Amino acid sequence: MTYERQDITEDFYAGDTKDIEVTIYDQDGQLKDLANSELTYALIYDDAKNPYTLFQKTSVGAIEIEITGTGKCVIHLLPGDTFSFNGTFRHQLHLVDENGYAGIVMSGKVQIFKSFARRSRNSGFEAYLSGTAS
Amino acid sequence: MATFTWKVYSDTPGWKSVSTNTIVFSGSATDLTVPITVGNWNSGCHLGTGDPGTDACGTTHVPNLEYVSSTEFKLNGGTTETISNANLAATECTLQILFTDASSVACSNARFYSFNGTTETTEAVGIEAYAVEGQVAASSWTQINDDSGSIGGDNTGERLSLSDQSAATEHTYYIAVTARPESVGSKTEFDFGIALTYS
Repeated sequence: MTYERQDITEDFYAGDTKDIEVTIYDQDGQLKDLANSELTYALIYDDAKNPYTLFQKTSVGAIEIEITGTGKCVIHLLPGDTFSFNGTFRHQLHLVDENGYAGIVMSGKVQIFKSFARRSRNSGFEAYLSGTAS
Repeated sequence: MATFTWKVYSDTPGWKSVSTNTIVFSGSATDLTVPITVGNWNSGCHLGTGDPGTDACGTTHVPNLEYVSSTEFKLNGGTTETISNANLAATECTLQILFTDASSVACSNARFYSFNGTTETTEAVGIEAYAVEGQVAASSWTQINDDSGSIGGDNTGERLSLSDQSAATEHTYYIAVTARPESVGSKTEFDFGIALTYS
């Protein structure tokens, strides 16, 4: 069952650490058993002409998507994931369960606001040369 | 904790941390004490223990890149080459600058510049210098210092803009630099700097 219009429209600035909590139900309206499931999250640039994937997260072999209980998972977005983004994007969560059932279980818009307050670092290194007359 | 590490390709040869040494532009491929004739570009590039101190390059000297035209260079006094990824290999660049962080971070607004060693926005004294970022499909030098024209320092239009880099725990920038004296004498008010923002 796909839950459309799962939008994030506020409080998301580029470079934020963001945990997106998702609840997934089966077709009977019960919390979905996610044991041995594979979840894939994608953030998508979509100008209605040439949409493309900006990045993906997976529940396999990583802690990018954490299954936290029956029907529940958390998608972990790190600062570097959205550092340079500014505008409205789309996101989707795809599920393949242990029986091979596959489908998009969540979809919506994500509004990411430009971040101006960023960490900065610099470093210097000495150089030398000497000039002589021709 | 974010840290910068500056390296040169020398000695065995391999990437070697510059530590507390100085990058020395000289008039000789093998002797860092030989001055450069005013108006000429560097014909040697070395690590020195001071200004210039003794040679700390090891077996192989730092690659020397010499300005020929806005789009051309000579490597170690060889034939004139056009600036490109193929012609200017990473190991032929003057500097490798690593930026590392324990977390995976993205970098933007990175820039490389020269300054007087005291004030980041003030040009190095008595120097003209150009730089180009290696391995990013750059095709021309950028003037980063011209003391006689009051150009240099960490100022828009007077520094080399470096490419944005996506999320990673280690970021690598390759920089080629060429320099020449604008007057007679030792140029000690001459440093390089890198600055960036990250998240």
